Amino acid sequence: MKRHDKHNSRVMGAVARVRESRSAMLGLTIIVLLVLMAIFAPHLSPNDPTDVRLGDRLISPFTESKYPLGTDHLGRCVLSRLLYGARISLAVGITVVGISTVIGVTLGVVSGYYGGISDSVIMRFVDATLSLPSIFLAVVIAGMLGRGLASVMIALVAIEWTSYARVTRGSVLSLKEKEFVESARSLGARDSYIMARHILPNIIAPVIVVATIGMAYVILAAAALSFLGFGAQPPTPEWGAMLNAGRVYMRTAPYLTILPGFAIMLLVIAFNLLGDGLRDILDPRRVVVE
Amino acid sequence: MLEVEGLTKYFLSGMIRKRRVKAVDDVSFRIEKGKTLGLVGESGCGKTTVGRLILRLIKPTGGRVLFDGIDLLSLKKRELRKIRPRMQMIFQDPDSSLDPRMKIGTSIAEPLKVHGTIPKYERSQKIRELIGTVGLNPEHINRYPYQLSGGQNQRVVLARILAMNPDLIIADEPTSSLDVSVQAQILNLMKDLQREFDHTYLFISHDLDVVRIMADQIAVMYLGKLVEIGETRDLFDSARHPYTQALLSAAIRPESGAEGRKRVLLKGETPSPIDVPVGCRFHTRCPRKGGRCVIEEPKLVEIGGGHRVACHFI
Repeated sequence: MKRHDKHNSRVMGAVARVRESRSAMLGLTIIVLLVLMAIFAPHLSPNDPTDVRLGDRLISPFTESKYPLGTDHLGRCVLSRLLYGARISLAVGITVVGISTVIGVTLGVVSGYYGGISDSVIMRFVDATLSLPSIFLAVVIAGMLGRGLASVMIALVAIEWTSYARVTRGSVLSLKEKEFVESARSLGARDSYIMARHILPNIIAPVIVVATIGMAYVILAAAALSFLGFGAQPPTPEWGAMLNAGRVYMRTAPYLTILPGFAIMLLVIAFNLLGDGLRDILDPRRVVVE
Repeated sequence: MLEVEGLTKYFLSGMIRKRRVKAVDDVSFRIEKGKTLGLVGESGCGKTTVGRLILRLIKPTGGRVLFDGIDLLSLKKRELRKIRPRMQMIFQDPDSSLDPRMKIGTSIAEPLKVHGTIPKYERSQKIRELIGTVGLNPEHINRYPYQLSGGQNQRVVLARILAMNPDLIIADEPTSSLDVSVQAQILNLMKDLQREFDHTYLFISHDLDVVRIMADQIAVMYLGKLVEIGETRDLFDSARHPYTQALLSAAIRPESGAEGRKRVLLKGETPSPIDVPVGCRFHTRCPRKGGRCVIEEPKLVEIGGGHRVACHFI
């Protein structure tokens, strides 16, 4: 491996190593492309994704230039719906992972740093959540809250935060024993200062890894819930909902299930690849040893 | 300056049947201002715990710690935080004593920032001053700890400590992870700083040669208890406790003036602090063991000139 300039900051070193990790690079490229597609969906889409044209029902892909990827059972442009669907999947992923990170990291830091009763209470909550099959739990919560993307997101946050809390707590426990934390304490620093200045900057690496892999899980779970009818409601172009709607036409128009399915797979794999690569790159042992 | 009386720490271990681990048991000593007490003993004897207990990084089970007449154990959290800058600790491993994600300059500035002693615009001046005092270059300010050597990092730790202007410094094996040549540099720096700022040192080490250079007084610990304490010269010239004698004979070097000293070999392993032997803790390995040692625990007895020994045969 190429040796890095010693004066490079740690972050620059990490960026350079992303380039060297093929899987991380591939994942990152796919994600960037999909994000660009989502952002520029209005410009890239040939048609309005919710425009119903019963005269143009079930046109196969690559047959009409007006509908590059064909139309669904209501004559809506599949390509446009896929492009707009990327927006929803990414937005759900980012929102759920973002909120979960904030909740999970906060509770994890408190739990690991203070220990004692707060630790026991928080960790029993985490254990209880983890002991149930997560998708089942999400279905129950989403079912109680009613249909719609908002309730799906709440249900997913309720599950997702636990992994951040656990990872954070573990890192904090090992950091707490480090001499520099003790020396900050003996300096007379407040707990809040130590957590903000010494603990948080040192747990970012593992949290980024969990967040990236969490994105993959959340996108898949959100699609699954929409497939089951809890998430996005018609006519919202959501990949999971498209999959469900196309299910009926699986024999006559298989592209209606294959295309959104492929889109979900691509995004999920991309995040998993990036997460795996980042895990190797940001390995705390590598960071410490260096 | 620092007075420790009957300092005791028991840890509880085991899930169901809790057993007491006697890490530190009834340790007493005092250090005068500007002096150095060397605390020696083999690893696991509780010397590091003594240091942490004094700073109240962990809570003692019993005893008193008087710092400049203030009883540290009775202080509330806020009062403790106020007094903390006056007592500082140097740890064994300089690499983990500094936050890996903080630049050297930020680390040194941290005490100034936390206590707000110096206005912001004067800080960088102060940092340059401190970094010069410990023999580093201003160009190190923007580096990260992993870009510096162990010796340089230990200098950074010293600069950080100087920023607080402490009275008491507890040095826990500050040089044992450094090369011998670097060790000498750091020790000399510490001595110079002591002379300049009138620091009081508690110097924890297992290296008798290092302690001999640094300390005015030496206390020897075995399994959580002090077995002998006295002026450095008294201890080196006329150690009375068989354990101290064994330690000295193990550290034999030409310049230690110990050529004629008989080599004292100890048998066996140090007993676990969970099962401290009844009577004298040292009797399982003592070459001079007698019947009384198995039954009765010897007390520290003064034998003149502040030299105290805990042994039945003195």
